Amino acid sequence: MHEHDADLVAALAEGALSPEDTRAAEAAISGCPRCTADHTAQRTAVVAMRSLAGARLGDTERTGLRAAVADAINLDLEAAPKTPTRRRARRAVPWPSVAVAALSVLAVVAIVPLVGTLTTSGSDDEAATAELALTTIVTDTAAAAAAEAAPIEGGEESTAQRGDDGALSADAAASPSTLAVSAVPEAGESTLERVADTDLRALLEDPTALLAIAEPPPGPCDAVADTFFTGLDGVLVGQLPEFGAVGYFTTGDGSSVDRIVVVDPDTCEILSSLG
Amino acid sequence: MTDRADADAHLVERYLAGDVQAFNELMAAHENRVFGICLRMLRDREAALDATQETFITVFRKADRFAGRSAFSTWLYRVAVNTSYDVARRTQRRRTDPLPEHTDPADPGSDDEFGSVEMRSDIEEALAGLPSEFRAAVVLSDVEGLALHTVSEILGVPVGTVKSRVFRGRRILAEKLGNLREGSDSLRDEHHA
Repeated sequence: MHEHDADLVAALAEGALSPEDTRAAEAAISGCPRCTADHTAQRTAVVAMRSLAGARLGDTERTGLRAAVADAINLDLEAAPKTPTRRRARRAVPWPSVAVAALSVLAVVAIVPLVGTLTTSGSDDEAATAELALTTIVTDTAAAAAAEAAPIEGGEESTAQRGDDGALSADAAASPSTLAVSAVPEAGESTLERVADTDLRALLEDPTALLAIAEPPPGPCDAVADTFFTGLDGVLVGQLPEFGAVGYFTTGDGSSVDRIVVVDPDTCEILSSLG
Repeated sequence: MTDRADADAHLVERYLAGDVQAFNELMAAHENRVFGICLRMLRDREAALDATQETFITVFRKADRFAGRSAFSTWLYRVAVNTSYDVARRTQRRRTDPLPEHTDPADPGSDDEFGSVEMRSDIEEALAGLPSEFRAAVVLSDVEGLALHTVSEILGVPVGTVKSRVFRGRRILAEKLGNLREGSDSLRDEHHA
């Protein structure tokens, strides 16, 4: 080999030739000092570069990377189904409506003495009347809350279309990732869904289990309870495993609950209240 | 198209249809290689992580524009290279920071000659000293083991240009490694004297 063939030298250095071609190439370059020098240099570099192959992310880096990318494109990784199921977006809590509902329920407290108490005992007629009054108001407020919640939930799509700078971008708007809605709670935002009034009332129909485990504070969210009840005297706290939440409540005659506030034990946000 | 390219194309379709799991599978298939490209281009783990993140964000945001004329990976690696250039320009980082010694295990198939931590640092230093266009060609071809025509597509230059850059880049690397080794040998001799 008298002419310098860079491609052949490179291929030989890469080990890309068949055994037969390798032998032929080695024989050819042996008579060409420049080719031999180039081959040595090429081979040295190839081996050195291959030693750098296989860079890998650490587990923490990988987790952080995926979370950061998913967050930037408004993708909810936790919503990835193990089996094909319909994705469930976190329901937005219409806090203004909840406040209205709470005020309305407070009105019930004023009405209740007229028609009976929230009790598991007493006459069926009294309980039924109280239930009717409560149901009417709560249903109305729940409907109002739902009506106000609708634009909030619908609004998640707009939120999802925002880029990481918070502004609507053409890319983000066009991105299919906006099909998924972020369920990552913001700081201080509850990860639990609002406890439905009907579920809470169902629980309070037989508060025996709750009363059995109830203890006086301290609980995880005493400050919230303090505000809600205007003091913690007579307040009890108990776990509500049905909701993954904690309930602070006061009892009427010792066998019933007359006021309760249900909070997320992690964020201390109010999930529901009654009374 | 290869099996990987077909699988990627299918995953992109699923992602475009709103399948979150497709996102995870695409990430799992390519995150290490994208990170590797960025790491070798930038020689700084934090900067490489930033570039990797930016790369995937860009690609997923624009996934609907992926026409499928080339492999998804080709497009992805092109974005990775360009993002690495951008990150390098933005940070104007001096590529002299040593990499953590425990992070990147040597390729089991590589020669022991370059397996030591000391030599790896020398190699990384030599690679970092290459002109960026040579470095990109060498990283894609020799570190990541991509075919020349793929590197050509990624870099947007003819195959002949890739060959030339790789060849010349290797030559510079060999010179730098020789000088670095001579330097460290003489330092070692002085230390033992």
